[in-house]
Amino acid sequence: MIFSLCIGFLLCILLGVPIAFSMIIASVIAVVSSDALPLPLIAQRLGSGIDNFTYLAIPLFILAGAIMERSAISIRLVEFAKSLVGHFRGGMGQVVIVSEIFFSGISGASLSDASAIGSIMFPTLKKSGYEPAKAVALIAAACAMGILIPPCLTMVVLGALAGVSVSALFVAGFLPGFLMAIALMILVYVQSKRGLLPAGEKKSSFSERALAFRGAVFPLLLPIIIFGGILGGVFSPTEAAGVAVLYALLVATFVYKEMSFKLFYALLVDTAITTGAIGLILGAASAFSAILSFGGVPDQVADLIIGFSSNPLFFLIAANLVFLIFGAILDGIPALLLFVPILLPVAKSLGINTLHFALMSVASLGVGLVVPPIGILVLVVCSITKTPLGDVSKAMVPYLGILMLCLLLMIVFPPLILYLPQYFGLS
Amino acid sequence: MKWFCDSLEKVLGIICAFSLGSFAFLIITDVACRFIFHFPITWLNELSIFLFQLTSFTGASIALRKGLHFGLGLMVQDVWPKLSQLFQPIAIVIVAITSCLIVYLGVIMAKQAWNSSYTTLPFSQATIYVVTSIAASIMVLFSIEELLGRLIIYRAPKP
Repeated sequence: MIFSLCIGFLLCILLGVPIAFSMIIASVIAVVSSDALPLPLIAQRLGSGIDNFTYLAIPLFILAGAIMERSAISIRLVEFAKSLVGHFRGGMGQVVIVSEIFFSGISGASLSDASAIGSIMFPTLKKSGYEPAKAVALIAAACAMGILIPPCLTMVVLGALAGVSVSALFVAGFLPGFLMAIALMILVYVQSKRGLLPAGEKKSSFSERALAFRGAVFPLLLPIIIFGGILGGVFSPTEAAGVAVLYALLVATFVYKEMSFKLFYALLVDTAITTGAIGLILGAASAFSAILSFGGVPDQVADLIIGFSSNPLFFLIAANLVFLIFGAILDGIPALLLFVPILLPVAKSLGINTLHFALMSVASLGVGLVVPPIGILVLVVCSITKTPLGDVSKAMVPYLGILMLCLLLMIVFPPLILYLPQYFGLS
Repeated sequence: MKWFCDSLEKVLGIICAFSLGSFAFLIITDVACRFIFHFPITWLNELSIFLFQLTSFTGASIALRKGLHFGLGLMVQDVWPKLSQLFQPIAIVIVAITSCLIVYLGVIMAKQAWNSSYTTLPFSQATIYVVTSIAASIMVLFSIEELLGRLIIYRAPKP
C-alpha cells in the first residue's frame, strides 16, 4: 500500500500534476490496491481536513495583507525604513531588510512580501548602485527571514497540523526572525565596507523621520493590534486575523481613501483562489497522511532514524535538511504537510520540544524557498525584476550561508526559540 | 465552451467572494458579541467553518482553470521542455480522472451523511460533500476545456 502510494505520488508530481491532485490519486491507488481502508475515507478527509477553526486565519491574513498592499502602504513602510537605516553602510540594502520586517508583520505570506518589496525596492536598489543580481539576492534573502516574523500562514498550518498553539508559534518567531535580520544587516555592512556593495544614503533629519513615521503609523499599528489582542487574551489568532481585515479595510477606505467596492471584490476573489489552492492541499494531505499512519510509516521512520543515531542534534539537522530541500522543491506548505506527520512523532520520542521542532521547520522552509534554482521566492523576484537566475544563484551564496548559520544557531541553542513563549506563558 | 466556462468562473467568483466576505464578517461579529456585548453566539463558529470549506472548494476550481495550484509544472517545463510538451496533456487527463473520482466519492459520502446534521446548523452534514462533488464536476469541465484548447492549437495549420 505504502509503496503504491509513494510511487503514484512521485510519478504524478513529476508529470506536472498539481500536488493536491497527485496526493488524492495516489491515495485512491493505495486504498484500492490494499483494500484495507474504505475508499470514501478520501472524500471524507477532503472535507474534514479543512474542518478546523484555526485554518480560517489563512484567508483572513492573506486578505488583510492584500488590502494593505493595494493601499500603497508598501511605499510608506519603505520610506519609514529608509529614514531609520538608510544612512547605514549598505544604505538601501539595510532598508530592504527593515522594510521586510515591517511588511512581514502585516502580511502573512512570503510570496506577497516578495512581490511587493521586490517591485518597489529593485529599481531603488539599482538606482543607488546595486548590481541587479545582488539586489535580487538580497530581496529574496530578506523574504526568507520574513517567514519567521508573524503573522505567518505556514505557522497557522503547522499549528493546526502539529497541535501546537499558533500564538506560541507566532511569539516564538520573533527572536529567530530578528537574529536573521541582524545577521543579514551585518553581512550587508561588511560587504559594503569591502566595496562589494554601495555605501549609505544621506542621513534623514528628525523632521523627515517624523514625517515618514506619520505616513506609516497606521500600517505599523496593525501588528500591535494583532499581538496585543493575542497576548492580552482578547482573541485567538483566527479572530485576530478577522480584526486585521476590518482594521485594514477601515484604514484603506477612510484614511488612505484607496479602496473601492470593485477593488475589494477583486481582492476577495484573489484571496479565495489562493485559499482554494491551499485548502485542497490541506484536505488531500489529510487523506494522504491518514494512509501513511495506517501503514505505520512514522513508526518505521522513527525506528530507522533511532537505529542510525538517537542524538537529537543529529535528528534536528537531518530533519531541517529535509524541510530545506523539500521546501524548495514543493513550495513550502506541501512539504510541511508531507513530512511533519512523519517526523514530529520521531522528534517527540527523542525528547525534542515540539515548539522548537515546529519553529525550526518553518525557518528551514523559509530558507528552502530561496535556494536557487528552484526556490519559489527566488523565481518570483527574478521574474518580477527580469534578472537572469544564473547570476542571482551566484549572488545568493553569502546570504544563504548566513541564513544557514542562523538555522544552526537555532538548532544548537533552543532558548532562542523557546524563551519568549515561556516568558509569556504560552509553552 | 469558452463562453460557458468564462461565465461559470464569474459565478464561482461571486460565490467564493460572498462566502469569504461572510465568514470574515461572522468572525468579527463573534469577537464583538463576546467582548463588547458579552453575548456569545454558538452557531457562528460552525457556520464560519462551513463557509471556509465552501470558499476552499469553489476557489480550488477557479485555481485549476487559472493554473494556480501548487505543483512542479513550471520546474518540469524548465528542466525538460520537450518532455513537458508530452507530459502536460497526460497531467490534465490525470487531473480530470482525479476530479471524477472526487465526484463519485463525494456522492457516496453525501448519501452516508444525509441523515446526520451539524450540531448548531439546521442542515445536513452531507451539504459539504455535495459542495465537494459540484466543485469537482466543475474541475472536470475545466480540464476538458484545457484539453480541447490544446487539441485545437495542435491541429491548427502552422503559418
